[in-house]
Amino acid sequence: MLSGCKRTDQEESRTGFYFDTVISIQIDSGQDEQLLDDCFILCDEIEKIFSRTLPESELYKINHRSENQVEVSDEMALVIGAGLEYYELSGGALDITIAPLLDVWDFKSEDAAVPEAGQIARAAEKVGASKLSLDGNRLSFDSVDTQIDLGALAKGYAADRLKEYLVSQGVSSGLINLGGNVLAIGKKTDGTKWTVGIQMPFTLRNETVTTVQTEGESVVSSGVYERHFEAEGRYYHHILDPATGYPVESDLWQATIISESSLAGDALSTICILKGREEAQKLIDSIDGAEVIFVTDQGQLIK
Amino acid sequence: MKKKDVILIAAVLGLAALFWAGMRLFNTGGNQLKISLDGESYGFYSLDEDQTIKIGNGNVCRIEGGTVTMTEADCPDKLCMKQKAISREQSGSIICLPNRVVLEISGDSGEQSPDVIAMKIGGSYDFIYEGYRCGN
Repeated sequence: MLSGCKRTDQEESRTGFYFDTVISIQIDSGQDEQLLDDCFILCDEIEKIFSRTLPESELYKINHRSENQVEVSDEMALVIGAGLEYYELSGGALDITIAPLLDVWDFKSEDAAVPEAGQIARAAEKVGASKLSLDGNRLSFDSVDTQIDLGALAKGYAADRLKEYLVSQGVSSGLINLGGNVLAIGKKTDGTKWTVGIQMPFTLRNETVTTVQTEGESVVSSGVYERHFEAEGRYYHHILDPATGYPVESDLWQATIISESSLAGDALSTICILKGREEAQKLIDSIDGAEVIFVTDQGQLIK
Repeated sequence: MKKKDVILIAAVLGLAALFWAGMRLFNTGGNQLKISLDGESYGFYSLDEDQTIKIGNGNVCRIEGGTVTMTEADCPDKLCMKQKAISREQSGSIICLPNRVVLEISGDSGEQSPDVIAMKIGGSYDFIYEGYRCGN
């Protein structure tokens, strides 16, 4: 599952499959290769906490609870806590209890079709993070139907954890790429900043429309093109609006957040798509230390 | 400067140029397609040669006119077949997640190429593929 490959004389990097995507970690080669092994072990541990489908994961057990109160781990409390904060911040747009709706929409099949309206409505009724409350490590549910999905936050959280670990082990230059969630550690070994490319969605060729120079920051893009299907002449994408149960109708194709924390970048980039450009711009302007780059639904780049 | 010196300098410069050209010729970065399957290197293929390549049991890609596309995939969503073509000019990767196939053309180590692209493979809401395997 892993391949070791030396990129240049300056860096050591490795690729693996975790979090339902392909990830790569690169560090300056003065470091011990063992660190990369440790990183992948950490990814494994994180998956065993946050995966919704692995039967042995903590999240699976929470979703298959028999009580309406559960004790959760510190890591789980941190991410659920963040999820609830972003729920408030986004006015309910980003909702970690969206799992029932995700189950109804099938984006992975070739014969994907629009679910029946009644099905969507019934699932939407089960959604609502206001029915959840967290007090320290105690998670309380008002409803037995509440199901949690942390996909909007998990990769960002994982990236932050990996960086924290690598920095604690003395790494001062590196690049973490979790399926497109990019988190830089310091600058490149030659002292220049990392150049992160932002692509224009919906073009036939790879088109880097702009780049971001970064030192030690997170760059996370969310977009409507990632998972989708077409049916009856319409385009259905995977960023669901919890209020309607359908893919959000947004004037944005893509939102890229530059921030220190990748968990924040992960959440905010999805929130931007959900809120649309005007609200999203206001929201990001009100947050210290976060910047956003939009691609509108007219294919226009806004920095 | 004497004529001899000029010839010597010219010769040294000439050799240096030849050496540099030789290094460029053998620079594997932007001239090759790297394919990996399940995290292991599957092979390197020249972009200058039109060819059809079968990868494992589930995928086929094609190099034509220096451009690479995924032409066949046995997974249900066939997202990889809809991903953008990659080439020397448009470096990047095409990924079939369920089959764990990665087609990659690394950027020519020119100044203009980004170190990494921030574009998600797999979607915001995650773990949809978890435990899923196509084909067999």
